Amino acid sequence: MVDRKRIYGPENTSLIITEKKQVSFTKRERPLDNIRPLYFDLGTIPQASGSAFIEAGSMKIICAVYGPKQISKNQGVLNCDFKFAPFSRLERRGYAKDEQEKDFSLVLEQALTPAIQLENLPKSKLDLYVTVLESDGTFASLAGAITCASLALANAGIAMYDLVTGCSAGFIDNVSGLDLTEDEEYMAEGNLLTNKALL
Amino acid sequence: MKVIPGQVLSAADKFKAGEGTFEKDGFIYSSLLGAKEIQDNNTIAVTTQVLAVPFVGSVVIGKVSKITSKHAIVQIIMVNNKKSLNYTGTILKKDIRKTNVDQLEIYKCYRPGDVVRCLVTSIGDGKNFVLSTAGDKFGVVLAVSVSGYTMVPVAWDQMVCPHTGNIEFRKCAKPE
Repeated sequence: MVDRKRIYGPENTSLIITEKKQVSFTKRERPLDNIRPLYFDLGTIPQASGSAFIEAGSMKIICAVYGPKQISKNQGVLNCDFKFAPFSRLERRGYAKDEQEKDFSLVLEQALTPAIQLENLPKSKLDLYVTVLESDGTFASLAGAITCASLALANAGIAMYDLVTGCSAGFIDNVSGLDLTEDEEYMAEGNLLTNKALL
Repeated sequence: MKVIPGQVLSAADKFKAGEGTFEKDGFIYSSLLGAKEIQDNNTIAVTTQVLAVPFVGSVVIGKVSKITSKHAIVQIIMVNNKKSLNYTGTILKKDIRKTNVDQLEIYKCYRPGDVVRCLVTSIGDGKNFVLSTAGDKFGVVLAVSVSGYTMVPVAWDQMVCPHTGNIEFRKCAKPE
């Protein structure tokens, strides 16, 4: 069934296929142990309780926190929602959440929950929505989302034990480097994501 | 001074950990993004503009939204003199006053629209917080009469309309 509400192109069109650039760390502009320079903004979304925007290279992530809202469960609950915007990469993504995005939502929740003082939020829930506006590296986006979400929670005035930061790393030809871009990630043999609260 | 969550504020032997902070391994850390304050020369606190969350023991001010023969539903608007939204509580019939509980009628104590001061006694099993107005300082603080004028308390269970002189029944809070 065709979705009539969305405008697709004419029937005889096809996607532009671009060749993946073959890169290695030798062409990397920054040192292996450096991440892309960061830009933060707090309170980007005025109607949310707290929000944050993070930009690193061409990667752009926005996060909004709504709540605390009342629920019947006695202990505080954090609901995380991670989504790549359909236009976030050269290859178009679906509107509905796919398996990878569901998995990333779970990782985000596991990364943030221990840092929040949920015992100080009885009968409350927090709704956290992360949207990747422009992605440059899937794992780098998730790492950025963790940092961005933790900033949005701080902006919402939620009591936390610490800010949480995320960082991604990968291997190319047995050499490891931090914060891989999409082209580098395509070449990488393995990827790693780490997140840390300082306490 | 602006601080971020997880920032060390002081050693724990110099100050006491106040609001918006926590103590761990001999240090006081901030748990909020806000301004550092020293209260009463010995307590360190972090303040920020956030909506308060009710706890057991908090004094809350709320608006009665609905009454039934068994309970009154209250929309909480303030918790310990701080703004709070999104929370509701229930005053059960047995918690309205301390004495003569089996003879009271809820419609003679609260009406929808009344502003009441109550105590949070439990976070409750269901959706709502459990509130109590048993005690002198808890009860109706502001009520509007049938003819639409703000009433004046004349006894612990009566209020009078200044315009018509009609007496209406309310469980009044003792003025502070």
